Amino acid sequence: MTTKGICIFAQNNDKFNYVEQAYFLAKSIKKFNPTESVCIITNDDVSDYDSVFDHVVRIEKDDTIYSSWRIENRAKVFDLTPYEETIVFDSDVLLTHSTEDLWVALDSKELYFTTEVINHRGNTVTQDTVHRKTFIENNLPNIYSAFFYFKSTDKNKQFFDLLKSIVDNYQEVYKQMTPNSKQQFGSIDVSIAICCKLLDIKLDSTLWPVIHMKTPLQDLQKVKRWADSVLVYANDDGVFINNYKQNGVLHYVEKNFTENESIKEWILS
Amino acid sequence: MSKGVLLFAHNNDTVDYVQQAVFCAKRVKRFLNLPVTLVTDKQSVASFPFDINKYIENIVYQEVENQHNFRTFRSSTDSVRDKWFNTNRFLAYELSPYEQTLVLDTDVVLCNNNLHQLFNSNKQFSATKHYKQFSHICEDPSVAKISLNSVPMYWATVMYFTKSTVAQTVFDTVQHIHNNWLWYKNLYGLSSAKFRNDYAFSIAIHMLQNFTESVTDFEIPYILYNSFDVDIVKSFNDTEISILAKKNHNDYRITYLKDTTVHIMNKFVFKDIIDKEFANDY
Repeated sequence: MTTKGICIFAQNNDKFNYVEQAYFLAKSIKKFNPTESVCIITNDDVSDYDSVFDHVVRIEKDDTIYSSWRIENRAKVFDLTPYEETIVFDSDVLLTHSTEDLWVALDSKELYFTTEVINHRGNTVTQDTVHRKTFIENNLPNIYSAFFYFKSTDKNKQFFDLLKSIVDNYQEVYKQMTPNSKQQFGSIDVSIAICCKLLDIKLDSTLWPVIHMKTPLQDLQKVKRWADSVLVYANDDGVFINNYKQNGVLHYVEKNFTENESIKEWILS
Repeated sequence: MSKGVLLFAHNNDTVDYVQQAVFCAKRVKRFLNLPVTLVTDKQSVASFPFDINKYIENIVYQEVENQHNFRTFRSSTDSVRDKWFNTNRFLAYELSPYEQTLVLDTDVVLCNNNLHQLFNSNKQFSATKHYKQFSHICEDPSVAKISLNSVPMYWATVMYFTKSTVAQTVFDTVQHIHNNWLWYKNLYGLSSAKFRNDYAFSIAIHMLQNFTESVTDFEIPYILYNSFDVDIVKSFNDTEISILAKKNHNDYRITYLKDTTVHIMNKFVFKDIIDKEFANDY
């Protein structure tokens, strides 16, 4: 029988406890699907949180030692996943729905990336010229790696092998592939986009809404950081931001979102 | 199915809403050819010096409660603070004698029959969302939302509903919001405690769209032209209106409109124009 599960990368840095974020995400997944298998991929101590994870996978060769953003290991997910079918979420994500329909929708896919995101109001972000200049100016597919899916097939092995090579050599690759508005740091989104472009991967339309909470995308005026400025609460009806109900994969970005008592209570209940 | 227009008019010491309602009803006859029901109170009707039934078929009396809802009525030069008896709009569903009802603010000046198309639609409830204004001075982004970063603004100025579960739920929700106004006003970040139907209906619509913007079932596909209280309406006849629209501090530009229905918020200038028309009419 094919094994299915969800992988979350979490490597803490000086500023953020990504393991705790992964814990919150896993709790939100199990809130709707208690039997869903969740795997954390990390090198950090998870002893305070490990009750929620079905698998704890250690990264034997850590390529992020000299990196603050620590995204370099993510390209290894194909090698590290314990599953034959894997969904990958960023750790700063919460699920507001059951994953049941998601698995059904992904069943016919071999590889799936999100290419369209919505804001907290439910409106599609048509062109993000603030954060996506590299994609727009270099005609790259508009990949958001906060949520993706793959089957462990030979074809996908080739994809992730190439991705690892792009990540390892990102400065040289970006120079070649993104001559217009080059990203100055290694980005997993840009690297995946380049990989898709090189392999001519046909990307499907969005199956499941990813709510991308970067502040400039929220149609909020005079607001620097959304989590400091708008009302946030959760109850039996779900998670609400600015009185808007969140339906989908909530990529909340602002780390203090989960410090909100009401949100924390919703996650942990 | 019975069709008609419902108007609400409760006078205060500053604005003669019944006079506006009769004026509005006259234009309903001219452009929509529909019967009109007026929801009002006896005192307001008593102050109207002419035959109110000339243009209004049906009057429903709703005595106003002693309430503490105030607003400032402005013109281009003056402002007056007075009571505002606007809190019974959620009774429209219950009070309308029609199966299909168009609710209009009394200061809507009809100049075409576009709204008649609503009676052929499959909408169970809808309100105006999209609007245009003539004054640049009011170009405030918060106008499009009920407060700076809140939910979209719907205008209770023009609403259409059928006797249906959906419409009843909308009006029941507005009543609930009205009864818990301080809670909702704080929840939605409104700075003033003044109850305003536009806000209450906007919140109700937001709630009934499952707290998202992705559904647009409640929108009237029609642009509401708003002439704000800083504008001066110079003249109008059956189908043409000219407005001096305030562009900035002391700069007005004339705007001519033909066959365009306009919501006129400068109550003082509006009254002068109605007075002139009624002098010939009655």
